[in-house]
Amino acid sequence: VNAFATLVLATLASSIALASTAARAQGVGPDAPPPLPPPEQRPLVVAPAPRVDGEGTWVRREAPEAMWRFELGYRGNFVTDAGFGPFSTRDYLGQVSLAASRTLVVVGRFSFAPGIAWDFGESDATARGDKSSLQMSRLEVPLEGRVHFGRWGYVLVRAAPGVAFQSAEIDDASLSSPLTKTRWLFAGDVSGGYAFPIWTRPVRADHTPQIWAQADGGYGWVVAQRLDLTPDSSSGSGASGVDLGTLTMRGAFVRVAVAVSF
Amino acid sequence: VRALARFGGVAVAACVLGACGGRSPYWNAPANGVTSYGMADAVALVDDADHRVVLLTALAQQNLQTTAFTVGHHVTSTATSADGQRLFVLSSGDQPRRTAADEQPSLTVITVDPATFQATSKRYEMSVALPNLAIDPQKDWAVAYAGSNDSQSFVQNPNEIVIFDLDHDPSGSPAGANAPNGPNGPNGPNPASRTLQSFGGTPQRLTFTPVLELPASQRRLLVIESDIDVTLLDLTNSTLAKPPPEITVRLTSGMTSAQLQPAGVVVDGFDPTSTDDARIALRAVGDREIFTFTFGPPVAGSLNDFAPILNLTDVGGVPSDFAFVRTSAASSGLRVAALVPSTSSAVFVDPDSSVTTQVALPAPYSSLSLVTNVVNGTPAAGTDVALLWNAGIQSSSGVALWSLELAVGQPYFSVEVLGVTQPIQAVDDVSPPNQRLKVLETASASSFIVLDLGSSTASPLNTASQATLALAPDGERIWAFAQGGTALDQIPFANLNPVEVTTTQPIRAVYDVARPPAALGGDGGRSLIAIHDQGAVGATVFDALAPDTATSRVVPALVLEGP
Repeated sequence: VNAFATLVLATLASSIALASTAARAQGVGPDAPPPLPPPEQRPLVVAPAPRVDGEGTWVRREAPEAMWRFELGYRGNFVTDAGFGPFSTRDYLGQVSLAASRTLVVVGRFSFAPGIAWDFGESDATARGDKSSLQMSRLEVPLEGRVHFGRWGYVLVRAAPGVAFQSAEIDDASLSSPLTKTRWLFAGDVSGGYAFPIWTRPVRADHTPQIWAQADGGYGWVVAQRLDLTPDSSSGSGASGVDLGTLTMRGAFVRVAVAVSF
Repeated sequence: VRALARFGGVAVAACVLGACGGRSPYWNAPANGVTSYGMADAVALVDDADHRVVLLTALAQQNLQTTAFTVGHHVTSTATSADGQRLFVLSSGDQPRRTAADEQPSLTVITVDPATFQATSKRYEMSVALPNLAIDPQKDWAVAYAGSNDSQSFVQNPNEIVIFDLDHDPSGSPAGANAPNGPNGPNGPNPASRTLQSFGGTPQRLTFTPVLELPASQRRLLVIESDIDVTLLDLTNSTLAKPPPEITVRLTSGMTSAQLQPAGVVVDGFDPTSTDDARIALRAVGDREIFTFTFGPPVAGSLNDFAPILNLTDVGGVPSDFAFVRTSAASSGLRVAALVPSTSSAVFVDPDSSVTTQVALPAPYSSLSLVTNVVNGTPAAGTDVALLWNAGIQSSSGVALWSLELAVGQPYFSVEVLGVTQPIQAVDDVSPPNQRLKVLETASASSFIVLDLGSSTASPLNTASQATLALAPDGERIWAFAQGGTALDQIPFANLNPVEVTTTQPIRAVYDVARPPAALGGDGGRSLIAIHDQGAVGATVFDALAPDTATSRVVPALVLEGP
């Protein structure tokens, strides 16, 4: 997981650097006219029209931007379910978190951006001398509402229904192959947090990427599954499994991420 | 927004702080401390780290069913009853107790009903932690005592014993059939704690007598051997609110500083046709005398309704083994037969008159066991036949049958040396219907012998390495395996042809257990459960009646269930 996270982080960092370098090389700046997005990518923007205040001065309230957004982060899950005991000494599961979203609706300083997210993590331990491991992937559809504060970023509230893929494994010396169980399960998260732009482009309409730092926390939930692990066929037909009870991967989580938006 | 942010921060902090507790310590405890015990219809795995006993019962298709029972913390002693239906787990509890949640010492009794194959448990709380346990062969009593183990407390009373009345519920349990028992009932609390009177000795070994015909009535006694004397305790009345005191018999006169340490006790069984047949005999370490006890009416002022009468008899050498035997049908034929290897002889002692008769033996046999009911032919009525063995590593005398009918006065004609030349280290009894068989374990451990007392044949079976033997409780077969090896052999007593099977993991112990009958969802067969130490304790299960590696089943991680 760590190697994978490092690779993804390096890839994302290099892509951000390349993007900013390319933007500078193209000479984009305050004088360049902002290109319009293709018609099919235009979001529904409902921005208030410029109005005249009491003194007759024009005041401009900028609507939030519609954007593509890609984020890479680290998600820490705090799992207090007793069924997680065989697989972790800390009641904690760390995951690499990847997400992509697209703003679809902008209303005033509010926006709505659905997306897709994938979290992957693994926990290793020993359970009474047996090596044990649990891998979990979440594939979710985050539905994110945002309240924007201009150059100060935005508050986000996210609900993310989806599915989780759990793979539990116990390696007992009695058998030549490990005891395993894998299962797809319904999952969901709710969270809230804040995204702050740490590198912004000079011009609002510029397509140069923006870089964000983001943190959110919430509660994740996965449907309970019975951990009745069984040996694979290489152990022969005469091998029994083991029942470790029920595992419910639910609990609070925190996530920190960096994101790039276009 | 500010409020939302504040709420989010507080929520995240609470979640982080509240969720970092770590897992149960149970998962960190390695499983190599798990011990196994064979019962009649189950195998018990005592998992002290998880404070539980995992009971394995056999099912059809070589499956196992596990049932867990909670036991007290810090197991100090575990034993099974003679019939294998009960498991006793003695625990010292949490010492010292720092909180009200810390456990008191306790005894947990797990019983497997042979009719239903259902297991139940019962726990008796104790006020003091004691490390040793003695079990009544008749399943009525259990006694915890200090013995020679190191003290667990800063100050310990080594003469304190705790008596458990296993036929009654523990004090404080819900009222039922045993409701009269308890601190407010006619009986005292169960268990009952008492301190034995001491003349400087501490209890070392406990023996439960069968029902004895004492002068006043029938009683069961507890014979307590200390390191310098012997104590008789009226077991039948031991849980009364005011039990009678125990009787301590000193083995030395007090005129000398020398002390005698008891080395063993034998008790004559109850004879319903005799009104005064209660006899107990005792031998001492390094002493040439046999101590015999008869019982008479109590002395004036005694709270007991009997009084022991002690006789001392010199047998001419240090006896290595002894037993009550009958040399004739008449009650006067009751003798203590003592083996004296230093003179290659046996000595008969009349327990009433102390008259002795010496019988020369062809070898210095040091062990005997009675085989009266299983030898070929019918011995004369009321007389015993003994099997003699263990004549020393250098001896080639093997075993001999000693017909006590002819013994007195006709020594050489009474002893029949069987065709076994190896020195014998142990003799194992075989259960009915093959009780006529004895399994002889040789000193070299490279072979064992199946001795048929019915036909006087001795069939040797050679092993490639030192074999550990396990006799099936149904008396039909014996299992042999090498500790730490993977080879396992079934030897049916019907033909003594070994059937070899193998396991993938080294074997620590094997148990031949019954499967439930068809009416209880089983098939009425038997399973052989081979326990492996590796990992979280695994087992390989064979059909004990038709063992075959191809149809065996490996059941892994038997103690890996959630705490």
